[in-house]
Amino acid sequence: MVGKFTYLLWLAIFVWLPTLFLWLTNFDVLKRYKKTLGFCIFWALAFSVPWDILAIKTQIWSFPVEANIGLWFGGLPLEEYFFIVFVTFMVSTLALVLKNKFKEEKWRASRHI
Amino acid sequence: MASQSAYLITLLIFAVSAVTIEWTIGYGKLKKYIRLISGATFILWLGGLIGDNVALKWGCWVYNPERFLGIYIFGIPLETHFFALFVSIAITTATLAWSDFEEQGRPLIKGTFDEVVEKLKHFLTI
Repeated sequence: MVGKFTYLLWLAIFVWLPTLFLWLTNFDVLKRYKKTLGFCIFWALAFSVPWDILAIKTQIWSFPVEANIGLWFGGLPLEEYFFIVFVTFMVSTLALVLKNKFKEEKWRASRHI
Repeated sequence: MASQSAYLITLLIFAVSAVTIEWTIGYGKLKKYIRLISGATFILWLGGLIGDNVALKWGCWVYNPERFLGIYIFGIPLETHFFALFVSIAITTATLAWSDFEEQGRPLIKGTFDEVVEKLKHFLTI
């Protein structure tokens, strides 16, 4: 696609843009959950990095060198760490946004607004 | 693990186990979120479906055909659908549980530890 920046471009389109949109439209709600978001990312790394390393070692999946910038840590490209951190961040963000929308709806329904 | 079920086995170890632990410990407090988790999971599965198709086309990552069952649905391996489902459920569940703690001003580590201990006590008294 765009050579060594292909995986980064994919992250930008499918992860960073939707996350940015959710944060720009729900900043006041989301800023209250810093600890939750941090905790989720920590545990995602604890589960996903060993899973990813095992998957590479057992050849379940691989990361073609021509699609990433070439910085590898523990057998994984830098972009894969970004994937784990930012996909988790996006999923948690979506869950928090929906939680607050549901809460709002319930509150409105209870007041017949 | 050199077989076609390798991908499935890692899914069971890392994702299905996480969801099982979360729901075993927190079922009573999490059941009110079933609709929300289902909705979020559907959105994320749909996004994952498009994202994975594009990633495979662009060569961001590649699956080894000798390590998955070989069943493709909407252009991606069956296991990847399970990946999207279970990882989404695991993360949304954890997010909702910990956000409840944060809203109540409870410490996250101690709160989680207390829930686990309470559940263990419950199991041991049965």
